[in-house]
Amino acid sequence: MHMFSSNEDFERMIKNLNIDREAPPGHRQELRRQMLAAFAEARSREGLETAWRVRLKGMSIMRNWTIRVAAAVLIVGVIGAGVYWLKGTQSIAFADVVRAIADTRTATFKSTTVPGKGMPAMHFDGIYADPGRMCMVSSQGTVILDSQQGKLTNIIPSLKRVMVVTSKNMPPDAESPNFFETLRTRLQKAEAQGGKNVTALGRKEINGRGVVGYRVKIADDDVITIWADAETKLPVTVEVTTGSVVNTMTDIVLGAAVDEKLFDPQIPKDYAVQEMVIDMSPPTEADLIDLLKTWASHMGGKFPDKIRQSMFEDFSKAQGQAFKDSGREPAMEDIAPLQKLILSMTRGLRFYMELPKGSAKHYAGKGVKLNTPDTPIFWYRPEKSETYRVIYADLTVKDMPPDQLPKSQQDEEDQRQSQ
Amino acid sequence: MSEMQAETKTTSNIDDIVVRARTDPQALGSLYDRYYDRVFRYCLHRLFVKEVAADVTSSVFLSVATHIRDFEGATEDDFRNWMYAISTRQADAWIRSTKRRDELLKAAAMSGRLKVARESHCEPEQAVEWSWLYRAIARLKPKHQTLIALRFFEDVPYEQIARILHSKPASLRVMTVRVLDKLRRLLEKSQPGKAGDAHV
Repeated sequence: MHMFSSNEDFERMIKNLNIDREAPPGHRQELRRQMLAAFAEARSREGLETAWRVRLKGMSIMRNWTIRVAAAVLIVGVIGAGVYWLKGTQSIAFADVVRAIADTRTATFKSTTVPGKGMPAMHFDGIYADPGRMCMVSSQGTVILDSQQGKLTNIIPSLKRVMVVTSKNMPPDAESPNFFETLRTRLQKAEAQGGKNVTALGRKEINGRGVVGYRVKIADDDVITIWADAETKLPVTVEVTTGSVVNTMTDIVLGAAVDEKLFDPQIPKDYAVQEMVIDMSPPTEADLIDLLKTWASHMGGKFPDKIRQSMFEDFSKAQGQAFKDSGREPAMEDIAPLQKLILSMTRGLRFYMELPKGSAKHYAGKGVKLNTPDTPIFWYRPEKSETYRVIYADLTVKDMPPDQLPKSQQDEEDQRQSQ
Repeated sequence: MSEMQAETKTTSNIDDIVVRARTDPQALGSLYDRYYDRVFRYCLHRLFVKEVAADVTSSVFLSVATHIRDFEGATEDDFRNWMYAISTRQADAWIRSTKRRDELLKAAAMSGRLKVARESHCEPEQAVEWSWLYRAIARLKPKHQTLIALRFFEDVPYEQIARILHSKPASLRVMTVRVLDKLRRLLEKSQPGKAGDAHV
């Protein structure tokens, strides 16, 4: 038998091997189809997560410092460049821009969304039509929003699948999930407030067109930057930065002819339809308890280290790993219940995140196991209450005066009162 | 256009495809077409049984499809390294259990016996059998198996293997000498008629 004596000899030996390297017939094509379907599915989940990130604005979604800094530099740069200011005519011009957007019954545009740091951009063509309807067409499929019916329909041709998400208990003052409608409402509010949160950015050129810019501050981490044609006052680009999510609209056409069929498409009979309901009523303490219980029962009996937006990514990964550990990849039938579970958990996160600063909330569940006796894991002071609500590891809740709180919280309470 | 310019342009185009593949299914499809053979071949060299290699290749590309949005590389080199790293993890995971390793070795042994009977007309210099070599390689540590597969079967330079295995090229060169020495001893021990060959 031949034996090698050096690296080169071994290389020659490998080259002389007679190995049949042909893949099994049909494997290449079948795997290609499966891979692209898995990609579409992942993108679909990602879209849903993004929609939630936008809705949960102001929460711990500030991961993309790079984009925030870049946006700030851009704005400062434009101002610093010394392009001239439209002093005296600024508020009138802004009102013109707002009126053009507010009065239109239809609009078409291209949209690019960057969900966060290092995350790939998502592109779609947007078609808006009164009342409150929007169709978003991308390479992955079509999403149709109807804010009056509180309904989102996601059609994914590569998976032959339709996802219908219906919202219930939407508060009357809640912002529409329809991006264009929300933009319109916000601009109108800013204009009605006398433009106090509007900053003129001056004049510049975009693709040879003279444009004027305005920055509208909705909140510290929620800013709209709009550039409109200096002559017609019609919008040319609109950038909405909500936390780490940056959405840019270009190629905007107001009053465009729109095909009504776009908003009521015929779903092919062989498409699977998955329906989900989102409860949009104000979240409660019970939702937080449900979140903690669900987490612990799916994550080895322990409570989460922290309560934050990214916990759902950790949760998804852990569930995916659990499937792999059991010797198989999660199938689409496994993903739907997981999506529902995560959607229900987001209510608990909303409750936690929306507690005001004065609530002195404190989470102490890291490393604690479900049903550990006499162990408080979370406490907060409800508005106008003298006592705290304390949630224990067995998920019971007690009212507790400040002087009986765990020590670390007592210190904070003393500090709060001394201030 | 000079050859260098053409090559630079091609590389740049593929780099563009790598970046676009995070969001664009067409770009991902192009990368799949470009890398399917390479990944299957690597899995085959690591796992011997064609059907197993196909299964693990599937796991690799399905993993790529679900994680590519988190892939931070921007060049084809980055993507290639990422593919090899995923393939290595998946292959290692497959053979991790003793039971599965035994399955592979039995398949190699069976294949070898059949081949000896069928291909006895081969010239002595070409008589090295893949099944015989695989059985010896399979006795190495997983990291050493990966090193042999990448360096000698896939012709990957040490610098690139170092990035895939989070090691240093110089360390890998030294390691290769030691691993080949061990492999040589394993092969000598397992030559027909010698102890250690009969049972796998």
